[in-house]
Amino acid sequence: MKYLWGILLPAVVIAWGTGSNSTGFAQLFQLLTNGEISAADRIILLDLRLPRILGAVFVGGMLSAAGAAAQNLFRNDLASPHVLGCVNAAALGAVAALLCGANSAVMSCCALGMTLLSLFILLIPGWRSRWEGSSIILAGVAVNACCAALSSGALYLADERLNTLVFWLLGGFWRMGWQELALLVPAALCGWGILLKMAPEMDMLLLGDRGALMSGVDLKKVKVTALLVIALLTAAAVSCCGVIGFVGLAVPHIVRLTGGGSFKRVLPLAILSGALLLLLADLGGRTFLPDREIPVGIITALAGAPFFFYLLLRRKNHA
Amino acid sequence: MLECRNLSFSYNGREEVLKNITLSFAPGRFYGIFGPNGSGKSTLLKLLTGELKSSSGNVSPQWDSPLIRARNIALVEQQIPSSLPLTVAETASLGRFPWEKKNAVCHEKVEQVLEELELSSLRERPFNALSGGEQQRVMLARALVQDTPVLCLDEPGSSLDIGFQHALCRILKKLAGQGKCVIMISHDLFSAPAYLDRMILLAQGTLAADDEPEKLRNSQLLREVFNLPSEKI
Repeated sequence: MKYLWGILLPAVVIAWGTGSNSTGFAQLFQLLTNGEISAADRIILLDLRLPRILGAVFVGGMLSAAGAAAQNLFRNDLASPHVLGCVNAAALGAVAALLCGANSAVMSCCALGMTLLSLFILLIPGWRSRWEGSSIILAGVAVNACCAALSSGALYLADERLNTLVFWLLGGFWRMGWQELALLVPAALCGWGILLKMAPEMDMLLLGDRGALMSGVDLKKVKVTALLVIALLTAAAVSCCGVIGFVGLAVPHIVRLTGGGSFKRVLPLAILSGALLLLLADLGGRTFLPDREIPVGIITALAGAPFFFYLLLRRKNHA
Repeated sequence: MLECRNLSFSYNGREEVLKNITLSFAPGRFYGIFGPNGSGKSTLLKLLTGELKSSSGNVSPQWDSPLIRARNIALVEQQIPSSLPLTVAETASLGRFPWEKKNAVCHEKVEQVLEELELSSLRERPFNALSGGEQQRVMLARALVQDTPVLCLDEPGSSLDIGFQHALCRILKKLAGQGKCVIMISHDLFSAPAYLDRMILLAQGTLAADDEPEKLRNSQLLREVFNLPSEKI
């Protein structure tokens, strides 16, 4: 964990001082040492880059934490907020709000509302099957497909806002400001805190439903709480930065393959790794091409997938 | 004392899979539950542990919450978790869960149980890298760390070779000798009866016998229940 902090903090500073315009480390140094700095540089550093960097860090941590929780909850390597339908439900809510010309706060509320609605739909088969994981996942697949179809329908109706919607759906931090962070940070801290407190229960779930129940776990309470936290983290993240795939699925795996273990250890490692991955992806996305930005979702998938594949091959070789 | 009286159970409300079972399980004794497939062994165990509620009759004691039950009864399942990304010591420590807030000496308990089950040398090994027999021993360690007066095992020897099955029975016999009530479902009519204090035989959901193993293991009743030829078992 120390190593991750040792990489993440310098990466934050590098990202803060790097961008497609002329504002760089010299201006950042001036800002941090109360030296002379132009108003434009101050705005770029404090109101554009810093919230964007913090947004990437928090969203990375939130999606990774949600993925780690989903994988423990369902004892399924493929479980993630995406598979459960949370991501596309949040995206549908946000797309609907965007089409109606809503502001950030309304968009976030719509994303959270749609995610909670999708969660409620998941809970019906969950309750009927006594909280059996596979029933909830299959319901999630159905919700996911339905929300994706409705989002596509919204794109079809988008007309001149199509470009904005498509770019938003591909994921990115260009909208991130202090207002978005004011929503993101409390949701992240609240979600991480609850998951950390639930770490012993999350480990117990690995024994299977019967094993966990006979070891004293209140299955209904733990599963419903974990699902709510996953929904909260995902909805808050998606409403601020669009759909960023791969992070929630792959980062917890990468952490476990490189020396994870109990949830109490996996969760902080996943949060830090996810934060680092999205921070670097965002930095690459906004600096790689001089005149345009590459959506973060494309970078995470392109850069992360081969590394994930390599780790899987390494695991097979070890086995 | 764990007991059930006139216990009956039906999954669909029509066909009873257990009929009028009365049994008692005392501390310090090792019980084996035998019977052909579908005779109701696992259902009986689920009723005893409170996982299922009986259609009629009763089980006592009843526990108010999963946590209170977990402080009184531990279960070793037949199915070993397919993937457990923990070390041996971490897996055994899962048994501390019901006691986490109440018992500060649980860490010592983990070490003691690992020592007893000869798992100390494997304590930092990943659970997923162990053989089936070792994994089953770790799951037993987890149940022992739970430190309950009653220990239930649902066909624990199914993935073990004959040597491990004997070793497991020796460990369970020793635990019963230390005052635990040990209840094991088994299909092993060859080695297990030698270690048992009491042998319970189920046939088509009814209690066919509840007797000392010496009297049952070569009996005509056993042959009839399992539909075996008349040669010695």
